[in-house]
Amino acid sequence: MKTGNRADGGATGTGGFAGGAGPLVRPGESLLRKLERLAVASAGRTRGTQQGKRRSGALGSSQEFADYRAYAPGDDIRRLDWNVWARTGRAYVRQYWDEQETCVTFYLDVSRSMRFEPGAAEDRPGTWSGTNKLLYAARIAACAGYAALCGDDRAAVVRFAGSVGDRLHPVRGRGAAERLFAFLERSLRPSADPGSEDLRTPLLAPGALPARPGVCWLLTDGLYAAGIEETLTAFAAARQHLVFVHVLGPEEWRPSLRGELRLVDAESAGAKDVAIHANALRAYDEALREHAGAIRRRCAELGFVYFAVDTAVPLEETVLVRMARHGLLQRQR
Amino acid sequence: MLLGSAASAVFALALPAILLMYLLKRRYPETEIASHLLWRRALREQEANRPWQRLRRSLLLLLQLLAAACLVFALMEPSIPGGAPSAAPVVIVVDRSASMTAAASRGSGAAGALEEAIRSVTAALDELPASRPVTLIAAGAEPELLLRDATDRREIRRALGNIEPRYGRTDEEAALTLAAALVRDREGGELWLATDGRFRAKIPGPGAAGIRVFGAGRDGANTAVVAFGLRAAGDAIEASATLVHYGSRTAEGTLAVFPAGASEPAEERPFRLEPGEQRVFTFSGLPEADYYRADIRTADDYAADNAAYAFPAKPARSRALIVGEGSLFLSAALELAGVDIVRADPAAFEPGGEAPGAVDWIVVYGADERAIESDAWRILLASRPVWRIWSASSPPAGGEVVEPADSRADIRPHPVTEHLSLADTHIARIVRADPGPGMEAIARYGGVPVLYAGSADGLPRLILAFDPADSDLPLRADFPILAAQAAEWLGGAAGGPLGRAVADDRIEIGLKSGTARAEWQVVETAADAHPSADAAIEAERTADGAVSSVQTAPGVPGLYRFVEYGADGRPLAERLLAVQAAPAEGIWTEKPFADIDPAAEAGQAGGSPGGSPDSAQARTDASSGATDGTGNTDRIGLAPYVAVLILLLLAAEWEVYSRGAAF
Repeated sequence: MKTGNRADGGATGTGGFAGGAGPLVRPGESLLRKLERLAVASAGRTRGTQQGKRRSGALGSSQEFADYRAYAPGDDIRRLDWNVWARTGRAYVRQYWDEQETCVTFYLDVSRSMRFEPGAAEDRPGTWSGTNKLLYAARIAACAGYAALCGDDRAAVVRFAGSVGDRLHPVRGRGAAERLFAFLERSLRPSADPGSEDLRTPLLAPGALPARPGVCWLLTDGLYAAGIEETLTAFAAARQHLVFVHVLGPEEWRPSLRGELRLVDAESAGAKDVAIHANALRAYDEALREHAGAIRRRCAELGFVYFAVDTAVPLEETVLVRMARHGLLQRQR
Repeated sequence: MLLGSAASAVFALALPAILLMYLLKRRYPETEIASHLLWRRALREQEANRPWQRLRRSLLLLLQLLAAACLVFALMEPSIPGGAPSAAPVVIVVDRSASMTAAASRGSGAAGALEEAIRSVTAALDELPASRPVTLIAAGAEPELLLRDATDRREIRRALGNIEPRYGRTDEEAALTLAAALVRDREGGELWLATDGRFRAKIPGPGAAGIRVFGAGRDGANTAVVAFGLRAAGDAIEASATLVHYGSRTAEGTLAVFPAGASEPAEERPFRLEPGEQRVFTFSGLPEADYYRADIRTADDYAADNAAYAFPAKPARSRALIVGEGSLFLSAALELAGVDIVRADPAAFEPGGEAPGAVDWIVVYGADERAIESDAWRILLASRPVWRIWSASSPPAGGEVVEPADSRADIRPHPVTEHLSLADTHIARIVRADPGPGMEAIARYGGVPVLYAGSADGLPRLILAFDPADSDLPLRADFPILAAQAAEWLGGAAGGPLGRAVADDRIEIGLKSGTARAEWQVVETAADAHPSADAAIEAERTADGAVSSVQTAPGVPGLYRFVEYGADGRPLAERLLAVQAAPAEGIWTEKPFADIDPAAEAGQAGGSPGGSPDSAQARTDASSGATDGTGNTDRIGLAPYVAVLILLLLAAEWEVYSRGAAF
């Protein structure tokens, strides 16, 4: 049902997204209401540049008590704990954690393999179904980005294929949500860049990764022959907390191909004659699990989060139920 | 490895066809997918971008080609020789009849057909598993079992090499029956027959046995001296020789007649005979000699019948003593047979010292038995051949007179009965009495023996059990014949040639009285005869040690002298015997292998022997390699194994196919 609109409350199979001629990425109103109550989780102490809701690694002016320390001349006497002074006669200063905002950067893979959908023209997003990987990834980015903006965090979007293309510089505040949505909507447009076999080509280019520590969401199908592990290490080195969102369609999780086929690669246009039978499918399943397992293991080693997404699952369930269960989107404090 | 249908190899054209189909194979339907990455990892196969590269990597194609090749192979009906159990017996029958002395097939290098046949049998033996027992039978007058279930190959080869041709009559049927009996009911048994194809016996039904024929000899020509006789024409001697030519081409040569011992022919005559022609040549004015030899010189493949001997019918008269009354008819008949007759009345005459030398044999007819019981008579009767004629009026002691119930005559073959029939003869009374030891009834009349023959003390004895006067026999033509044959048989011991005999035949010889030892001496044999025939052959003896009056003629054709010696070692008599090969062996009117059973003939490559002389060679080569028509028993078909192989290949193909490695 692609005829729903943003006011339909997101109760239908379209996941509360507009369809047809309207914007494809923007979540419906009811989904936005639910997202407003969520925030993007971040591991450890964050360090931003502006006041936010994130507990910073530094002490500051938040409501959250951190520790006592002996008074030193020049301290703000408003922070003196008079009760302690009354009982002991010594002056102690109460310290509080600083709260800062964090920047959530969404790296959106717009390569041709992400756009690919069997039986749909990849240059006409309007014909895509809800299981299109790029559309699904953009919608996840929209939801998570909206939740971040609502949580007083900054959101940025970097789209990449063979190289880093356009980017949305960090925006802040709920009012910037429409800009975020519009940027994501533009990301669906056809691109001349088919993508690369090596993830390092776009992401390890100078300036591709954020300069400041923060949270990154990498939304990709992971169909790269090389460079995934090195790229993950590079994110860690850039002091980023990464969420690897592995977006694959139902045809990739569970191929329904049968018989003797000539498989054409959407990116390289290379052809391959394959006789597909139960044994071949078993081998494929094994290769897929090995591939995903390698990414998952590397993420675990670096303290990152690996999140596998099947685009056949309704987006609301993915965002509101599965991501919450994984602790990616949490209720705001 | 044998191929039943080599022509099926054309089906191998299917292989390039499969290859072509793979090259021209329609491309697979194109299906776009997001990325090859996972498929590549799953299948670990490289894409082939050239047709031959694709073929090179195509295990599926390889398996299909293999399966197709197996199918073609199976269509060619492969089989491997063998299959007979390793202990299955082989019975070899070697035909060693006189015709095996004929020339070997061209190009074989063997001296004769027998050697050639033995060579090919020996060659086949070398291919035989050592564990198979071999029985060796040589065909002859009686089949001779040379080896029984022998496994020592050297012993078998030696026995084969020792087989020599026999010129006498051959009973091939008996040899084959014995061989078939030895093979029957023994699984996988084989019967090997080494012959020149002039085999006068049907091969018995194969039964369990496979029959393999080893052919030898050639479909050649034979010119034979079939008859050679002498006739007195006044003082001179005339000879006539009959030649027959068997063969497909005209024969040319010379016919020569040699008097005894002469190295130069008395007369020589060129001849030219068409195939199948028979011609009589007459020679007159021959010098007087003891014997004559007719000899042909021609390009002929069979030498055993190229010479014949004849003896002049000498007016050699013998002297017979008639003891008793005798009769006018008997005297006339004996005189007609050239016998000088001396009469003696036993009542008035007692034989004296010189009497034994005066007569050659004795007829006792109508004499009073008591009168000849004296010692002098007994000695005389024991030292001479005696013909007793019993009379109903004075039967011998213990004799009774019977009247025959009917007039049916039953005559057994014997020199004395040779031309007798007794067909229209009426005999009124016959004496039935004990003829004495060693006597045998050779003629019966109305179921009663009328003629006994036998020997006593190495001398012939003859008994006529009725008085000719009691019958109409003296009026019949049989009577002078009987008298002449009796005189010849009884007086034979007196001298003169023994005549002709077929090699190895049993002949009856009237021995001289007082013969203590006798032997056969070779006068001359055919030029190619076996050297061992030159030695003298000791005569056979009876169970009691005396020289037997029935002797086996020497085995090699030629002229022999039968020499008898007395107790003091002095030769008593010398008589000549011409030994000839069995006449049937030289009759080459039929093509070789004409009598071979069709079942066995199928085993001969090409089946019927062709008309050309060289076809025998082709037949020999083929038959030594091929097996017979009953061949199912000694071939293992490979088709079931190929079928299993194809099934395995198909299973492998399915496995490859389902693994998806169909690049």
